[in-house]
Amino acid sequence: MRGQLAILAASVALFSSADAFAYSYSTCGGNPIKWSGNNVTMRASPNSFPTGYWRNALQRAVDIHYRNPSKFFFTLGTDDTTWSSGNGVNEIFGTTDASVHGGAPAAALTRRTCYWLFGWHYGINESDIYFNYSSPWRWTGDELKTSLWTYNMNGAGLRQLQATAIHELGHSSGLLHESRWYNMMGTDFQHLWANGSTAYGYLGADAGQGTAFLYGWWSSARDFSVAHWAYSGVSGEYSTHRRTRVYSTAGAELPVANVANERGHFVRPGQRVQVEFTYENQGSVTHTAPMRWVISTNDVISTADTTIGTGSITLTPGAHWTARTTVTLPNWLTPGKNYWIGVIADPLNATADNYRQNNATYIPVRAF
Amino acid sequence: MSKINLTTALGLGGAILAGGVASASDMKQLVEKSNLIVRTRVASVEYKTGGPGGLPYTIVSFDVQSAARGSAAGSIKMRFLGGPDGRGSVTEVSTAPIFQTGDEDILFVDNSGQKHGCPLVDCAEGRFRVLKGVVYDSDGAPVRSLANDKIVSNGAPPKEFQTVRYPAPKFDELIKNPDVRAMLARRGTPVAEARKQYEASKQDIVMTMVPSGGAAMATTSGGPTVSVDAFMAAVGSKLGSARAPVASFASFNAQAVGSAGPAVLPTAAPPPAAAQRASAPRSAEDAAEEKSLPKDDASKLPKKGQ
Repeated sequence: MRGQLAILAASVALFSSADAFAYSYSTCGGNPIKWSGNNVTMRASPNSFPTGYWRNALQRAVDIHYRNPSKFFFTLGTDDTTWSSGNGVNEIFGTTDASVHGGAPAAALTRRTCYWLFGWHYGINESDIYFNYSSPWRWTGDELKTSLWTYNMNGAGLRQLQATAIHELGHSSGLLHESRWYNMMGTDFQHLWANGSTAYGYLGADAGQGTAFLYGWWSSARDFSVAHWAYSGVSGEYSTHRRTRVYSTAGAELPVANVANERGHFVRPGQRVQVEFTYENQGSVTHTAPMRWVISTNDVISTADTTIGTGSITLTPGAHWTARTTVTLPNWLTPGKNYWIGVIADPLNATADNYRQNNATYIPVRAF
Repeated sequence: MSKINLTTALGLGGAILAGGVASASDMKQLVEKSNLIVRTRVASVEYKTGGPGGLPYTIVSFDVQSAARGSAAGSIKMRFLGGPDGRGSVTEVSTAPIFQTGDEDILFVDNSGQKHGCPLVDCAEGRFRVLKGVVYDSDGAPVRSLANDKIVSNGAPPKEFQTVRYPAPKFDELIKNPDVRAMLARRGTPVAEARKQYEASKQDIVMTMVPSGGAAMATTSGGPTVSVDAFMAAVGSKLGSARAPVASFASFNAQAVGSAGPAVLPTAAPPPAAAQRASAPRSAEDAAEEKSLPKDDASKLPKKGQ
């Protein structure tokens, strides 16, 4: 939306905190099990990922994974027409064979070396990834958020292949499931960044930090980001995530509203509220980002929106932080209309940041 | 306008705010989907090669201590994909649980794994571990509550669950591993000497899962745990309203598996279904604003590996 005059003070409240190194890995003889090099080629089936839509989606996942703050990265080949475990080739394929997928949507089959002979020998020597292509079809390669079921309160939509592929690539790099924190190695389809019409899965600060633990930090990594997803709990081995929320100043969640088919909250014009977002440092150095909280008449959060608060946040490499900020909403909100409370990290491009698209996101609200 | 500077706890990775109610596995759904619900102890595990696509697999023999749903008594067998190949490598399937002799569990079973990649309901989510009378989820996080059908678990696994031990490969198999032969050639070590050293060392394969970051979120670590009796009582409370099991359980039959796994060829992806893409109409003004947002251009960034 175009700006209206409403510059209001923001105060920020930190309710609780704990240190986080939210990643898990396995060891052999006390040594972390990982690839011996920093670049691994995954070879996709051209049948399962034909040129165009599906291959683009898989390539996009590899590209997003590349952003991790470690020296490690995958490259994608698309020349493997078969699948066999133990052939030394890292294959990505779709399958309808229940004897393989067992009902799981996708999985990584990672072959780890671990034996003792004149010392411990350890490492990853192969990792295959399958996607369950059984009916009913569950995947979309769209980054259009309305294609994703996590952005449809009516249950429509599909599961984003990119998000799940990034999760599986995390396994292929040596990471295990994570249930304790907001993390891509938990529930991947609830670990998304979104602004405007776009949404996509991303590796995130914690899994990125885990990758850097295994392979070393990449000194050029700079990426401060914001998200409207947060940790909610555990389902089996996976962390579950929920949309970030709007609370009263007393800390009570405001009533839930369906705002343009997304989960939002009812708010009153002029109301003082706590808005909750997740902030992440996906880079390799401590990052202090100037912050701006805004109110918008659409879900496109930009510097053209009306500022309702400012501040700054400092995060160490690999840190994620879900926090509430107290802001006062403008009096000019019209009851019955939808708005979006937004946040923008580094709105004036004052800090080094390799990926700026993920610097803004929103929470939908409806005035009443 | 006031400016407030937020700084996380520096040096250890950052800070997180706990918020909201933990979500969890659904007891009612687990019961509904199960053909068999049993409390078990792992009597033995047997590792095989030649599963689907050549995957190693593990046959687990469970002593049934009690059955809450379905019929099973004595000992039952199930197959899980993944396991050691006997030559120094272990294949782990990211969705599959790993069982060790002596493990105690409560299992929500769908089938035996005879023709299916995982026998448990929702694979690892159908496994609940038992240690000293307390129930843990498949990841080893203690179950904290069972209210409203939700199995809420949280916390780091106890040390007993963090280590997986596989038998050391037999030397005659290990030496078939090309990497081993190459290593001995580099060292100039005769095979007979390597065998002597290897068999004297008796080093099993020990893999340890390392959960970094401490116990759990501050607001959800610690607290109450759920006993086996309470867990089984909760299972029992759902049995009356659950549909009847759709199939009876039959143990995995190793004789019915051929010596080599069937070829599993990649399946073709269907064309993207336009009808499933629910593109919401956007105003010209919204579209223009979105178009003006920062775009990521990786082409200008330094490249890794250079």
